[in-house]
Amino acid sequence: MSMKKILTVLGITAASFVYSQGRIIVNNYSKYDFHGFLITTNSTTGCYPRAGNSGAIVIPAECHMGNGLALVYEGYRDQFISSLYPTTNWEVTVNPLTSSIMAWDDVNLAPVSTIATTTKWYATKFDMTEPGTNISVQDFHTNLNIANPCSPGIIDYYVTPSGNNSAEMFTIGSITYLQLF
Amino acid sequence: MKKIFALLSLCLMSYAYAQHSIMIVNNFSTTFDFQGNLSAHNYSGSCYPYVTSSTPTMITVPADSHTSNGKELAYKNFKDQFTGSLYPTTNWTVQTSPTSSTIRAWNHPSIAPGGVISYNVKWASSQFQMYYAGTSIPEPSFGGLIGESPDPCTGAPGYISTSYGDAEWFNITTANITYSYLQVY
Repeated sequence: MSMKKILTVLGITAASFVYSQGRIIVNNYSKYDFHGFLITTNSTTGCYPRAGNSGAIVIPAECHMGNGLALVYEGYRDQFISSLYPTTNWEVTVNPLTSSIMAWDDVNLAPVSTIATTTKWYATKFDMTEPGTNISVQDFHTNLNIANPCSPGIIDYYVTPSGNNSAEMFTIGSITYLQLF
Repeated sequence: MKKIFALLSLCLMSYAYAQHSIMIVNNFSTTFDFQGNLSAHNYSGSCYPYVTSSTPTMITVPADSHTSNGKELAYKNFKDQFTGSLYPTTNWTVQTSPTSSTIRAWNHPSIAPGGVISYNVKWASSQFQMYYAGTSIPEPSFGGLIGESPDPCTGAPGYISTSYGDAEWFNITTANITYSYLQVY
């Protein structure tokens, strides 16, 4: 690997700290597959712009930071190159009446774009399935969101009625974490 | 592309596998048992995650229990303390934000070593009360909140002095491992 490429990768890593969109890391410690959506909203006021992956992201069972298989998104664009679970298209809503599908390399989603610099990861919708299938696990599906200017309620923890599985969403510094157990 | 993944994985793992400090409680007092909880929290930016021992409500370190006789409390991390410490904690209360609080068992992956919560917190404080050794009779003037000082998250003093004894909190780093000491005399 050339030095140039290493510098590029490190550059991308460093640059991700600059923008308010921040990074999202999903750790799936559970024995089920994650099928879900990762959603951003305006980081300071109101609900727009907002964006989420178009088409569910699948993170297999037991993929997390501990084994190097976590989902790590550095931003709408750079995730496509650097993440193990790339999103090709984003559904972007700029106002209540206008939403569109944008490819990962759309100029409007670049790290310096208005959309990237004004939004922050804040919510998820997911459904857990038996590994390698589309068979949902009973009760292990929900929506979660951390504190944000769009919706007043905070639902950042979920536990299944059996108590066997749970999910938590939180931020540390500029990084948003979603963890499934 | 594979190499880029490998490099990014290395970047991530280098901070995923670091360790928060090791907690040591030395009770050098021969008159009083120590009873208290132990808290750790994030020191960069906000106070969260914030993790506090909750079962037992109060951890008891009997009088005359310290590193000199091998009876000190030593917590390597939230998990391994359960099997490695003389005074195990079964459950921890985990606050990931001011509005979110969850009770996690010692072996839950959310607080496991190498996890993001464990990595981002450091031992910070203890709410404690001294009891006459072997009894449930407290000495009301020997207790309180003590911790790393100054710390805007807890506001705890690093030293408590009473006519019955003293308590101090300090950190020592050797060979890249930080030890948080709570000592009672």
